[in-house]
Amino acid sequence: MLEIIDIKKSFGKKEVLKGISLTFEKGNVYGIVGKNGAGKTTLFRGIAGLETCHGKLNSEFDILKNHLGFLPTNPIFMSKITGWEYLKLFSLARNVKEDDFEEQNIFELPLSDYAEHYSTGMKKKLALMAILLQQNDIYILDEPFNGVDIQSNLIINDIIQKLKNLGKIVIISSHIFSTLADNCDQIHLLREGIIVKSAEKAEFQSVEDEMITDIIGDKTSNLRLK
Amino acid sequence: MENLDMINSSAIKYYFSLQLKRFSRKAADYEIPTIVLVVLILAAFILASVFLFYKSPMAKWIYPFAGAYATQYFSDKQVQSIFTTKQSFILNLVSKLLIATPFMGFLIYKMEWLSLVILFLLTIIMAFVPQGRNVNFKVPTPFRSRPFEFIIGFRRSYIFVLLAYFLIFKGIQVGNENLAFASFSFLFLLSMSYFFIPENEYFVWINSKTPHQFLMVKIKTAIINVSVLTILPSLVLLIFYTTLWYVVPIIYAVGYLYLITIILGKYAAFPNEISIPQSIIILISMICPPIMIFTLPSFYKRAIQKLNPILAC
Repeated sequence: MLEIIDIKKSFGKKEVLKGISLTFEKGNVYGIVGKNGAGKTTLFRGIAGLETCHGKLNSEFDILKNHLGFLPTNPIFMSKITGWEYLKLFSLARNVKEDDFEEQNIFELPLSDYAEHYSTGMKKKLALMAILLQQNDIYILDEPFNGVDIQSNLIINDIIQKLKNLGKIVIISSHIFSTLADNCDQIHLLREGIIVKSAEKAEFQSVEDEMITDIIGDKTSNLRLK
Repeated sequence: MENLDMINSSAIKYYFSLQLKRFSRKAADYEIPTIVLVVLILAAFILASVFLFYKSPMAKWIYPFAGAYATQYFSDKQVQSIFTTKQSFILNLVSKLLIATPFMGFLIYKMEWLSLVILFLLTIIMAFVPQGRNVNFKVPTPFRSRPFEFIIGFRRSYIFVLLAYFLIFKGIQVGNENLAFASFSFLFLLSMSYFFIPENEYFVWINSKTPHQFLMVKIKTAIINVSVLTILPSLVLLIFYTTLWYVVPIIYAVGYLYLITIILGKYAAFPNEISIPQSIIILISMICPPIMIFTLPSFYKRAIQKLNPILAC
């Protein structure tokens, strides 16, 4: 179980997270939705320990980050590193002795090419593969479907279900509500640094409706389309 | 066409004025006036150069290659993607000559004319090497199983590694042991440069190690990798210069110590780049190794402090 209690974060005077408390159970998939700037990435970085936040994090692990795989929205790549070397770096970081990535290369990535030359989707898939190879217990996937082709979307959906069945905790954010509805057991709507709604599967439609109202509202009428 | 040339010349001027602005902003980050930073850098450069020439008979051979490497290392890799081919060549050439100027100035002062000509020619040759070209040609490295500093560094500087190997063998061939040992030492200087730029903190965060373990793995990997890079030429030097057998172990000992200093210095500044004041402390430590009794533990302590929030959260 992972529990976050009253997580707060400010950048200067701007309060990005205003006291978020959530509980994540093993074998469950959680979705965090909210429009740009709602605080999703800051929350994820806070849980991962990449951002210093106020509040409390409880888990069964002494050092949470050593059991946590974090897929950033825009994965970072070093220049002149091949896909294979990137995977090796991540494996070594968690003492996973793995040298042959061909079998695990389910996205059929050109692992001998420089990763910096990969397309956006390929970079995302490589970064996802890297954290999966680490055999983590908790996965935070920030926009895992962004820029990824439809076939790989299906594979990612399947991976999420496999992780769930293995008893892992998976936390996802996505702008595509349907991908969350398909995968998640619970969805939290984040607005201006506060969780304004939490919904179980049966209530997902109400979250989507609220999200649409939140994002679109009456804005398009301002265009005065004729 | 005339109009286009005018635009080109303005773009080049604007590029250099931007570089000057960036430098001034960097000085402002350290809260010191730009002119003071210039004086500090020049003083550190002259100090290092005087020390090198005072301590090593191989200096006149190391110097032009260090200068040429500096022109390559500090060149802006984005130029190619922003400017036209002609503009980027001019920018590349002018930038490299500017970077080489202090090295050339010092060689003129030392009246090392042959070294000066070598540095000038190398700088011109380097200007013809395109910067940051988007090629997928993969340079094989012997460091595949231990990413990443040496893989990246080697791929960026393999021409200098090959050049150093060539000059070691050339030095042996013509009976110039200074050239051979200088080129051998240069391999250690190259390896140190692989640690100048900090990685994104995400690549530190992914490690399930304590800050101490992390630093030890970094140091161990660096020592293994620099040994891989130097083992062959060191054996050749030992075979051909049996009477000077002690030089190679001395270079290894000093090289390892310098490498450890750079690694600890890098993480003492992490996630920022090594600052100018820190560079000066590192430089003074290298010039006067007994100072390392104080600086190394201090760097280590600071590095642990800097890594702790990232690794032990």
